[in-house]
Amino acid sequence: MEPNVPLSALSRIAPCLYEIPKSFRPDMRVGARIFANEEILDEIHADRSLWQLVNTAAMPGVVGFAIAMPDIHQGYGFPIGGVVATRAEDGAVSPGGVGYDINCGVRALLTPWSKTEFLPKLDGILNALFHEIPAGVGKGISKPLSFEEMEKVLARGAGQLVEWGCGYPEDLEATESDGRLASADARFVSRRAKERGLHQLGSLGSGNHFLEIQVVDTLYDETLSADWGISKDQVILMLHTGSRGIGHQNCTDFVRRMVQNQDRWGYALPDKELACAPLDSTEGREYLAAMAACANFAWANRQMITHRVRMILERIGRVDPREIKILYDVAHNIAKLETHEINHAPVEVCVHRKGATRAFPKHHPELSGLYRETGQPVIIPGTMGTYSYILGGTSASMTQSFGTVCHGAGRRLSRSAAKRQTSGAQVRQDLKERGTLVRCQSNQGLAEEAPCAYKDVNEVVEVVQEAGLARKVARLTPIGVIKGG
Amino acid sequence: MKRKFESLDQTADLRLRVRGGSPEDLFQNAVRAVFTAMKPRKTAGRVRRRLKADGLGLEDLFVNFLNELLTNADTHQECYDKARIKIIKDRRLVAQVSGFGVLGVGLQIKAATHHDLALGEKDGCYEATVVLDV
Repeated sequence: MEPNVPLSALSRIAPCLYEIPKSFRPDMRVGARIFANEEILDEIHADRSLWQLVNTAAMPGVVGFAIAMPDIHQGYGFPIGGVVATRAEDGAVSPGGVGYDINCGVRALLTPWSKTEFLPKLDGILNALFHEIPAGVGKGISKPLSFEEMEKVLARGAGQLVEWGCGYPEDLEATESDGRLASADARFVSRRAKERGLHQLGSLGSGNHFLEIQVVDTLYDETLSADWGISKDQVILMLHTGSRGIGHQNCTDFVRRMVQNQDRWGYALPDKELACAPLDSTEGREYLAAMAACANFAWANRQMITHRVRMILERIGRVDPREIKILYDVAHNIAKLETHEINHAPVEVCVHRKGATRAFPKHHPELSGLYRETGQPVIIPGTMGTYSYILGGTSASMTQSFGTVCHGAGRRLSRSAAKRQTSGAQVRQDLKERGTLVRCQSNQGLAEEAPCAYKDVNEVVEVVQEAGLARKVARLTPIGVIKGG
Repeated sequence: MKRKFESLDQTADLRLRVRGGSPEDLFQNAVRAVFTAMKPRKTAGRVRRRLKADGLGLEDLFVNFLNELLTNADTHQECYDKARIKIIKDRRLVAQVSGFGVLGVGLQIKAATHHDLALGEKDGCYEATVVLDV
């Protein structure tokens, strides 16, 4: 078990920013920074995430700082809720810095309904979503993809689904990277990984993946909300899922390759799950290309679910499916080659975001026309029964955190500890009393994902705003939840 | 008598401790540990698979074997409750696993990781601790 970083090693350098200096440990190549307030820092310190953050500061080619978001928690190797950038020229890329669920991410769908208009339909729509959107392990579409179809999805991402009639061209503009990383090369995704994904396109998965029906209860920025089509009392759907088995297998395959080759590159890293390869090596290039292909699958997955949601809402809600618009779709487990300013000079870096969300400001060249003038929306889901947030990207995040913010509330209790504190039946009851209906196959899964198992998302978002990394635009409250467990 | 397997606290993932009287016994108990943790919802009928795995040493072999199981389980929508395993020079193994089809599971395990992996023998008892991504 890793040791912990003593709190005395941290110095507070700004109201919501702490630093662990490079001198803390001899193998650190850069310092580490943690965005947190005092209460959150205490929670962070209760697990080993700070030590894991320090480990990532030892990555070959790491630049700037190893950064922790306020929702950081202990992972395996890299902590969850961290950002690490390595120089493209001579740095390394690590599959562990992305995670097994490549392009796990969140999508928000705007509907034309107010809460009052929607409530009479809630039960029927929730039941239909629960029964018709595959969730849980192994469950996917009734007709699996062929290998040929899989190749197209891996190459074209969400765009392939639009071509198949499962979406609209404007959906791609409202998706990070237009729903596709052009650097994808499916040749480097193993056949086994592809096999795992054949029957999983259009499925939620389990654990903390969900489909939620939410209502806008507060607008913090009325101008930006109006620009983005968000209004008070509006019903919004939020979807959280990733690349399913194909991503998991791809990560397993490449972690194994890299573990076997660490000696070849002379890497001596404190944790095998930090295993990495030089970005300019065969393994590094192939990993990035395969990861991109799996990221494309995840965007296609969320696009397929969106299509199904639209069909259900059309049938039961009697709405034109085109009126269900994507606000935005963000990835929170991904590695991307981006240009950032390091010591006042532009440097191409590989940004590893593991449980962390991109938050680009206005005029950023990577943003599509839709958000070029405002900056991108950032979607931060809470836990069941708690608020979720829509934020807007700011320029401060570019200089402080590689254009990155948190991804959610961050776990603070293990699954066992959560089950000791509450039960699935109690969670259902508590949510019902708060006006939230839940559909989930497993009560055990509900207990493990209970709100008490997570940090306070309101505090997490406050830290992000106070640090200037993003600004609050709207707050959402759930009225219906579908969990995959 | 110590339990053959148990789950330990881990913030966001699953940490298992597995025991056995020999490496093969350890690996067999690991099969039951993993799929018990997954809380499968079974369908009727039994399934059988032959698996192979290799590794740089016994620890690496352990992780690779668990990942081989998880790959097969996810691909074929199965879980396994029995295994016959032959380990060759701590670097290769062949296994025959049997189990059942599943409609779903209560907990999806994505992969076994190398994080905090420990595998050793003391007083004739083999013990392994492994963290799995859920």
